Amino acid sequence: MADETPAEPQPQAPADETLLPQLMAVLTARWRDETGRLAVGAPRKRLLEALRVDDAALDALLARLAERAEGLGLEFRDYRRAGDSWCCLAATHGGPIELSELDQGVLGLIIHLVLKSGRRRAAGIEELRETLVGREYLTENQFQSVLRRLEYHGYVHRSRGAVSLDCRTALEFDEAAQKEIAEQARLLIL
Amino acid sequence: MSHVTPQPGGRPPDDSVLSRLWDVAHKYQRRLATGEVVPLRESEADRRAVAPFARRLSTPSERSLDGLAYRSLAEMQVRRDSRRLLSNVPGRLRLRRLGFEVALRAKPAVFLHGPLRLATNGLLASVGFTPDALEPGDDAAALRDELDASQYRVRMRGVEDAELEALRGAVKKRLLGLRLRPAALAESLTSGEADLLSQLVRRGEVALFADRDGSIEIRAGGASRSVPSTVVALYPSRKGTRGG
Repeated sequence: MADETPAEPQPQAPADETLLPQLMAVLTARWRDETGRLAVGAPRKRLLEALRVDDAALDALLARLAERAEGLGLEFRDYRRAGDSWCCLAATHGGPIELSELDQGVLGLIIHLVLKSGRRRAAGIEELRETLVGREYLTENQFQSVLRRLEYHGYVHRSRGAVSLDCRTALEFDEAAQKEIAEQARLLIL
Repeated sequence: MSHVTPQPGGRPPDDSVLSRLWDVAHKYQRRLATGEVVPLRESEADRRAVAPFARRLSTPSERSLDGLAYRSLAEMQVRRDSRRLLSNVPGRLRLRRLGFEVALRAKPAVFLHGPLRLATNGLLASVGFTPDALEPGDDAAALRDELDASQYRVRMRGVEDAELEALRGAVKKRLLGLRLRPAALAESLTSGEADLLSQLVRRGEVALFADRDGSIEIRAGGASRSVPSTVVALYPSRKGTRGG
């Protein structure tokens, strides 16, 4: 951590020197909530509690962190998760993701189906199975394991026969990228 | 679909150029958005209808509309070609191709695993980099030594359960009843001790309470719903930042 902080003259308060590396560690943390769903970074509410600062001070601190992180090819992102505002650090440019090509392909198709579903923001698992297994892109076993893997890594969330996009998809693929992926999925698969 | 063919020798007024270009651009943009494919014959007729306008474009808006019409035609051409070519590609390969397109657009969330420091003996050493060049401060050097030492300990031997329990007991005994500012508490702990304190809090053996003046009191027993334990971010304990 210490090595990652650039050694430029620091105009800020000295407290930053200890706080920023800690925030860096917290905002790049990956952990699971009590239901086993993956979470990235930390909820803003808990940051406020832990640092005992008000909104404005936290914003200023996060802005300074974002400025420092930029040099490392990271950017500060915030997102909504379970009704709360969360913060985390993500890569500015593309990078390797933890999925195999098949997983990524299925994720692309799910993104397309979810965008197509409009306000429902979910794709039917049956519809997905019909496309992928019915048209022999995947076997049933592969289909199940791919869905499990996507859920484990926090990309999708399954509930009541539908699959919706989880926080990590929203974080890693912005709106424009999702639209492009949906377009490619329509072209390649459907 | 009727096509306006330019009058030979006659120069259509600007309005007709604009409206014709607009028709074509709009038609193809709409079809592109809905995912339809315009047949080659129809597309080619539209292209021929638009082609003669090139000599009559005068205003910037006409030129940009002309550009948009051509881009739409070209995109439709790409879609038509790829659909035809894709019909020969097996499904599995198409899924992989889609995976590639997905990976191209990913901006991954970052996870820093393990000891959170850059290795100073690999690539950096090969270019003659020394960490001292970056951190002349005493604190940084001390922290680096501590990190090195902790890594050394972890490498050299594992910790028995009984010993871990004894360590927890020692930390509990030393800290119980203390009332410290967060900075003072952080100073009095090594990263390992802070981790143990965090474990004690998680097990409900110790609870941290924040006073109004910002100092932290360490009490025995777990937190209750009415008096919740306080979350404390401590340095250098990284594992302890959330659990404490």
